[in-house]
Amino acid sequence: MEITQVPNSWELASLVCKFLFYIGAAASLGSAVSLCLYNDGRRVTVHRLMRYQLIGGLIGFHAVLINFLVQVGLANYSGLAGAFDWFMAEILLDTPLGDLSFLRLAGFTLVVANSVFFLRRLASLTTSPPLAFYRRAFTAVGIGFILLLVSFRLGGHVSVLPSQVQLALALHVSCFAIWIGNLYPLWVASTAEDLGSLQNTLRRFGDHAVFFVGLLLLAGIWLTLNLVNAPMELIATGYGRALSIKLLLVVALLGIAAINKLRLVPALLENEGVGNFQKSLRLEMIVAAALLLATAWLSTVVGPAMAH
Amino acid sequence: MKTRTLKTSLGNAVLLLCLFAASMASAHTGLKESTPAADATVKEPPAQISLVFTAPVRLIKLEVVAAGKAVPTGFEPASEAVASYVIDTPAMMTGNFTVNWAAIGADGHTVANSFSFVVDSAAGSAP
Repeated sequence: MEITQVPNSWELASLVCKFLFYIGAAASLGSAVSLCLYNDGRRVTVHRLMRYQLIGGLIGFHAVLINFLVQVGLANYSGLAGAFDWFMAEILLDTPLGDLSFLRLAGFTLVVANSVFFLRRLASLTTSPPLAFYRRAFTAVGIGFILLLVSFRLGGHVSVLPSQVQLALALHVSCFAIWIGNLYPLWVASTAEDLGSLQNTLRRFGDHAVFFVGLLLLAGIWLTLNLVNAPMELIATGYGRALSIKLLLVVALLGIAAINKLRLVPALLENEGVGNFQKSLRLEMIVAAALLLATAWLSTVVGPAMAH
Repeated sequence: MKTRTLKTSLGNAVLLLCLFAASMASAHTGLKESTPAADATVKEPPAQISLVFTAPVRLIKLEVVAAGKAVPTGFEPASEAVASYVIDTPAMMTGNFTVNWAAIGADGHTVANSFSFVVDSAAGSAP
């Protein structure tokens, strides 16, 4: 049985595509949630968040498309031209990979179409958008994100596990998208001049975060219990080591979030308060990106022992 | 400056951690055994090539190459997932052969690899 020591070029390309897929998914749902719940109502804020959603949707769409070609190239086990072998592409289209790619492309198409439509609506408005604007904007993105969630049933390590584990994955992905996808919107919010309103928004996010981060962790623990046979695997196997790294990054992210909630947000109105919060948010975004990279590694390059 | 140092340290830490995880990057479902075996030398050109995987897979590609040219086989891409495959190779002769294969596991991951063997009528018995 062949065991690769280091991923080959196609596997690394697949890794990058998966990482960008996660970024796109997080930006899509995070922006929609932020517009509904943590929006300060300023036109400039709404415009930035809709653009963030558009860019996230475009990144996700292209990541899925390119990943399909990468899988064709990987199957051909030859050079770059192998990625454009239409005979192999037709074969792969007829597999679960084809179905999940289609669902993901459809999901991100909804996100992109939604953001383009509402950006144009925003341009025609002379005042801040009403609440109905955000609710309608959320609907299409919500449907698009559900398509992304359903796609996880068709491929991936969890797709071969029982439905309750797949449900845990759906909750895990949704909660991470809301949490990490809101980091940039929080950064946008921190540029507001009304610090009192900003502080209320951040407090509200912090209170909600306790719920969905808690759900994220519970779902994550359930997934870990179903993907790892024994604690020793966390250091003895490549998958286990990658999972250990992810867990460490989760702890780091939770630590930063706790500092934000317990110290920096309450101190927002003090001197340098906003600056300190923005620095912390930048660090949180870097750690979140590393976490997504670790997750992409877990879901592409390595596999759990139960797969063998 | 402090932020930049922290970012650089964090970036280096992530890179080191990735290398740590990569030190035994494990493939997904893989090839358990083949006949002829990898790197084997056989006396008679095999009429069939058999592949046994660690779990049921859909074998979507199998090509046998000798001196840069494809050797005709009876391979058809599989529509169902099974763990064992036997492919007719009626046109085998003596020489060095490479078998390139690609399969899709139950989890939808694509795996691809290759192995080689030699057909040498002058060689001693070998599996």
